[in-house]
Amino acid sequence: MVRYDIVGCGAVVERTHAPVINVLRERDDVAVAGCYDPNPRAARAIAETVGADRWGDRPEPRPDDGVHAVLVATPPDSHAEIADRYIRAGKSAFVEKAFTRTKEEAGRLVSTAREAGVAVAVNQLLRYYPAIEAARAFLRAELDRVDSVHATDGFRWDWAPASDYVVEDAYGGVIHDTGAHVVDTVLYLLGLDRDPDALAARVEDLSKTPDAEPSQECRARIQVDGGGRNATVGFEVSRLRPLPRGVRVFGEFGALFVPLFAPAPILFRDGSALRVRDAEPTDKPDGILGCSLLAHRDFLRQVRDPSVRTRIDGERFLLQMGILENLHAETKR
Amino acid sequence: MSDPVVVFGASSYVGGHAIQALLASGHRVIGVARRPQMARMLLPQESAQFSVATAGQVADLIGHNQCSIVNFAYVKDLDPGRMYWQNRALMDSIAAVAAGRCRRLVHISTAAVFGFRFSEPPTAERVGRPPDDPYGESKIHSERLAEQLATRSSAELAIVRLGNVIGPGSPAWAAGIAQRLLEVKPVGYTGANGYSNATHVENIGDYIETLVTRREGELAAHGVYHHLAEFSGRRWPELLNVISAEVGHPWTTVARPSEPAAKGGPVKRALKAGNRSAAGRYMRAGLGRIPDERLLDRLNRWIRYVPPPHLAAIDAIGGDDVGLLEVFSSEHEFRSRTVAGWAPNVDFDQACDGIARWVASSGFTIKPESAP
Repeated sequence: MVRYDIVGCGAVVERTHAPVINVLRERDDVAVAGCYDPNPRAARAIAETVGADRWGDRPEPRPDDGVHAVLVATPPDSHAEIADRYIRAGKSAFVEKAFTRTKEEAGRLVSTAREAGVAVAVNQLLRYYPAIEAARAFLRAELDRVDSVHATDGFRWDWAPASDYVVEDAYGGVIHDTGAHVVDTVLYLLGLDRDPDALAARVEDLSKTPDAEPSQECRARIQVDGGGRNATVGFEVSRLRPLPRGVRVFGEFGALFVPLFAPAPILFRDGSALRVRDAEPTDKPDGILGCSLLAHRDFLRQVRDPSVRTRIDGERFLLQMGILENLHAETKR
Repeated sequence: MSDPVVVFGASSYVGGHAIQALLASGHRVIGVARRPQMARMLLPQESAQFSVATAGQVADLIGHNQCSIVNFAYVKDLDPGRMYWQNRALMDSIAAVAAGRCRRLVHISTAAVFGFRFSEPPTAERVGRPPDDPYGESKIHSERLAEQLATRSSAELAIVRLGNVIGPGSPAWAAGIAQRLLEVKPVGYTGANGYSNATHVENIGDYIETLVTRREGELAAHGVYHHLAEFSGRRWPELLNVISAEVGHPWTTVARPSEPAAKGGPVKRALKAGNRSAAGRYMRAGLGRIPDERLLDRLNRWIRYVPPPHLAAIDAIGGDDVGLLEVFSSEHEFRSRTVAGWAPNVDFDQACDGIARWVASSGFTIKPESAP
C-alpha cells in the first residue's frame, strides 16, 4: 500500500482526487497520511474525506515518516519547491498541471527524482480522454500530411475562486492553467512529448490581455522543430470569451477535430463526418473521474517501480514547460 | 440624477450586457461581484458612472440614497444538499444591500422553472410544483426568496424569466451550439422542429433598463412575473442553419429514445423516487436552514453519495444531453409577457447575422482557411 501526503486541499482535490483516492483506499492500494493547506478548514475537510491521519498548514516530509508519495495540488508557483522537498526526502511526487513555472525547474525535478530513485509524474488528465488517445493513434500514420494545427480553449470566467490568485499571482493566469492543457494536448497528439533534447519550440506573434501576467487571454503561433516532426500550431486560450474547446488538425486527410472533453474525435472529409474510434475495443474512462483514476493508477505503478515509464512521466513534459515559459516570459520585457 | 442601480452577478454574460445598457442610458451602476478583481477583467472600465464592488462595500458607495437592485446571480453548484443554503446566503447578501433603501428589485430567473420539457405552454405566474431537476428547483426557490425579500423591503418586484439567451458569445446558445456541431452531436430529436424560445442578450439589457426606469406603480400594474423570449415563435432550425453554415457541417438530430428502464435495485430506486418527491425537497429545504455552514458541510459529507469513478462503455447520449435535447425539441412556446410599450431593438435577422459573424471570427469552423 502506498501512503500519500496531499499538499493543497482546494477544489481540484475535492472534486477529482478525493473520490479516486477513496476508491483506491477501498482496494488497499492507497492510504493518506497527511493533508496540508494554508487554510486549515480545507485541510481538515479533505483529511476527513480521505481518512487521513493528520492535517496541518505546512508539511514536514522526513525520510522516516512512512510516507511514500505526495500529491502536489497547490498553485503552480509552488509545485517545484514542494515536490523537491518530498523527492529529497525519498518520496515520489504526483504534481498537478501545470508541472512547474519553467522548463529548468521541471528538468531539475526529473533529474533529482532519477538520482533519488523515485518517480515524478504530472496529472495531465486529458491524456486519458478517449478522444485524444484515438486522435493520437490516427495521427501517428498521418503526421507527414499535417498542414497546420489550431488549438484553442476559452470560456467566460463567471465564478468566484477561493482567492484572487488568478488575477494577482504571476502564474495564476490562463497560460499555466488552460494553456497547459491545450499545449500538452497538441504535443501529445503529435507525438512531440518524447525526446525533449531533440525538440525545440519558438513562440511567434504573441498577444495577451492584459499585456502583463497574469494574462487572461493569450494568442500565439508556436513553431515546433526537431527530428523531422515539425508543426505550426495556432494557439489561443481565454478566460474572457468562449473559444472552440479542442484541437483542429488540417491536412490532406481532411480536418480532424479533437474535442478536449468528448469520447471521440471527428474527421471531416469530403462533406461527411466520421467518428475516429480507438482501435482497442476496451472500456473507456467515464468522464474526468475515470481519467483521474487511470492517472493515479499509472502514478502508483511508477511509485512501485520508478523505472516504469507512463504517459504522465515527468520527463515527457519538458517541452511543454519550455513553451509555457516562453508564452509567459514575453511580458517581462 | 436617477437612483443608482446595483447589479448582482455583474460579471455574467447577461449581467455584463445589462450593465452596458444601463450605462448607455445614463444610469449610475454598481456591479457587485464576490471577486471584483476578476469581474473588472470582464466588465466596462470603471468611471464616475460605474464601479465594481463586493456586496459589503455597496452601502458605503450609495450612502443614504435609494437604489434599484438587479439580480443576475444564482447558485451554479447544484449540490442538492447545499443549493437551498446557498440560495439563502445569496439572497441574504442582497437583503443586506436592500435594507431600507431598495426601491425596486428586478430578479432574473429562467424558463427552466417549468422544466426542460414543457408539459403545457408556460404562463407568467407563480410555479407550483417544481420540475424534476435541480436547476429548476433551485431557481424556483430563489424566486420565492426574492418575493419574501421584496415584501420585507417594501420594494417593487419584477421577476424576469428569460428564454434561451442568444447573442454573440452566448455560452450556451451560440458557443455551446457551435461546439456541439463541431463534435457532430445531435441538436434535437428527429422531426421535432422545436420552438427556439429565444431572447437576445441586447434585448434583455434594454428590457432591464426599461424596468428600472419605469415610473413607480407601473410595474405593479403588470404583475410580478415577466417572460422574455421575443423570438419564441422562431424554430431552432432557423438558427441552427445559420450557425452550421459557419461551422462548415450540417446539424444533426437523433431519434427520441423510448422511456429508459429504471436502473438499480429496489432500495436504490425507492431512494431516488423519495429524493424526487416532496419529501426530498423538504429535506433539501431543511438543510438550507442550517445556520452554520461548517455543520452543513459535515452533514453533507455524511449523507452525500458520490458515485465512484469507473471505466465504462461510452453512451451515445450522455445524461446531460437529455435536458438539452428537450429544449431543442420544445413543442410549446415560452411566450413573452413584457410590460406595455416595450419592443425589442434587435430583430431575429440582426440576431442571426451577429451570431454568424461571431462564430466565424471565434474559430468555430472546420473550414481549412481558418488554419493559422
